[in-house]
Amino acid sequence: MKNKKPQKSIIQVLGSIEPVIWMLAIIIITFSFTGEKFLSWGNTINIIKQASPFLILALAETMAVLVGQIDLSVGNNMAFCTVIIALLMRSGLPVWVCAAAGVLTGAGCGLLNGVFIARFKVPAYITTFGFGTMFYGVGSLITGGVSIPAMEDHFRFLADGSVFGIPMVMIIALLVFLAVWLLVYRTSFGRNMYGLGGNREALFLGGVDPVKAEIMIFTVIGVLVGMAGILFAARSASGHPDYGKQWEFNAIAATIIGGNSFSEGNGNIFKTMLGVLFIQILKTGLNISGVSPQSQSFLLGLIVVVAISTDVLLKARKEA
Amino acid sequence: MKKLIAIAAASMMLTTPITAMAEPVAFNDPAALRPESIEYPVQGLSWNVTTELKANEEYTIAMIVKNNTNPFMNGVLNGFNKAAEDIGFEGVLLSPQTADSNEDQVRLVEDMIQRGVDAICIHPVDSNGIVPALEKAWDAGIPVLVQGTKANTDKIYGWYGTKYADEATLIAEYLAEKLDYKGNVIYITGPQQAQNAIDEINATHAVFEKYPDLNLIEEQPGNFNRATSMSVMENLTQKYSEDEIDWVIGGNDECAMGAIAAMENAGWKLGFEDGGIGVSGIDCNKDASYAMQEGTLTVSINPDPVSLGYIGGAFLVKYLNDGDLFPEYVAWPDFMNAEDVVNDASTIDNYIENMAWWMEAK
Repeated sequence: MKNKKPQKSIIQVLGSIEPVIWMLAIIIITFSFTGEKFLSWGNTINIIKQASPFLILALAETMAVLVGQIDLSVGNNMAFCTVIIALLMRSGLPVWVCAAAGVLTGAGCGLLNGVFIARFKVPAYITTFGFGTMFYGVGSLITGGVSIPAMEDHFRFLADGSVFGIPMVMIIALLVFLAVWLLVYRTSFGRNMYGLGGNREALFLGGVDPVKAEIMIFTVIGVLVGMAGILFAARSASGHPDYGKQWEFNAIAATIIGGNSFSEGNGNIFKTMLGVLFIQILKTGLNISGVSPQSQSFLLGLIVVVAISTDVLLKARKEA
Repeated sequence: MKKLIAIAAASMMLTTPITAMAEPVAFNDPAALRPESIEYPVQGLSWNVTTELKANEEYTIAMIVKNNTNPFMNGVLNGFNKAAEDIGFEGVLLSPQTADSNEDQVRLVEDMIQRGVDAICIHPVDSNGIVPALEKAWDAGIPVLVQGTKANTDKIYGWYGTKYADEATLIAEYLAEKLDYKGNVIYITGPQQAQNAIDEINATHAVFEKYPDLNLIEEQPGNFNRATSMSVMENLTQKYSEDEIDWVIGGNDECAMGAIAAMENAGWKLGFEDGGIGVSGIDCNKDASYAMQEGTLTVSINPDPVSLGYIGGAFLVKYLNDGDLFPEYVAWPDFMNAEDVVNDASTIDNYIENMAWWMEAK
């Protein structure tokens, strides 16, 4: 099957470029003037390393947004995974077992979210907020509020090592990205996901059980959260329930800034990747430019609001 | 001529090893040994802190704190800023965008390594979580001076900060003297699993053991929290009568303020100088300072974040100038001069006027 695409004029092509790409260009040019060494190779690697675990977390959030839901637990659940990973590592288990346990923990948290949201019809923002807070509490109880070291060298290699000069953390993030891409665009799982976000009736008439499909999706979100937990724990060589603080909001912001939308049931994971890069470059750029901490929070919030409203306004204009 | 050459050669041979020995060893050189002690490069406390030190080159030094909402952390940033002005270096002030976020702090250190700053001073959020970032700085040859919270690695230039045990000892000795070494004392402590609270409790016990007529009749955690401490003290006002109690120790000012509120509600007489119950805190924060002026709080200790931030910058410039290595741990403020840090009714007006760390930068 081949589709013939109609020819587009240059203006149409430029106009169809996602706003986040323009915004990315603007901040990169700005920071190349304000931040010494911002455009260095070392800093590029630095940004990629910092963005990689964040990307996995944002992919998880994007899946929730694509089914028209929101997951407020990704930060706390991810931190809970870091606690489990560090605890098992301290008890002397091999790194791969600890990592697998982290993923399973994440999957378990996701499954719980899914069951309550899909089966019991509890609104997602309440379910995920509740379970996220609960797992934060469990993590605090287990650790007593003190971080648990996970200093094993092989484990730290995941965050700090590189293979042929390519950071390990980037390789992992890209593999996860590829896996998510295959899952979303090449399997019935992905079709169901877009179906859930768009037209649930049609999905049901097509013979798919929307409840099962949604539980499945939240479980996969949990798996991704567990994988992000591995990388966050490796970066800090420890586990702590606080490590997820506000990361759900970073993940939501990246998803939306990239151009995905809560309401439409469309959008894609490439947009999320651009959103992650935008936030990461913004944060690093502000740090390297030596902007004061108080102004940083203000600027970050302001730019996020401007970015999202520009996106919304441009879309509204296009539709008009 | 031959003689001259011989003398020159001999003197060269003699001086070479001496100059070689004087050549500073980099902090991350395996041959670098930590000295027993280091001279404090600054004098005075709080806003009166000064130094003769000047930067030899145009250094850029970053100060990374835990958040910018806690007045103590802002005091540290203000002090560091003052050091940058006085000593002549570029100070980069940073704090996590999410308050107390370890991940954000890790990112800040990584970004500063990329920026190529000459040195970093950091007040870690977490002892373990910050380790990979600090070791990256070590590998990049950037000296990191850790402030306050310990970092669980040896791969740092140095570690300095407030000695909580000394603070508690000074307070316990103060009240022992005021009570003439006899009386009944209640102790509202910090969280009993937190290291700083444990240090304080042990130091307080050590002082009480010296004076057999001074009794610690009750010890309960107020968790450095005003509301918790208040409810703890409310229960104790039911258990004891006013006459049985001579002094209440607060693990910090918040504990003391909570206890004061509970005792005021119970109608107990406060104000030690007027024959009421004595109350002590630690931190000399804003509320506590005004309570001392009113007379409800008897005494508190100034941990002085301003000079803490200031001396951090000074230590690092000293290393960058001369290559001075750093001991295992250096305590600051220097509590050997107790009269400078202990504040009560006799000093509180001057403290609020000229020294208070919670005031805006002067």
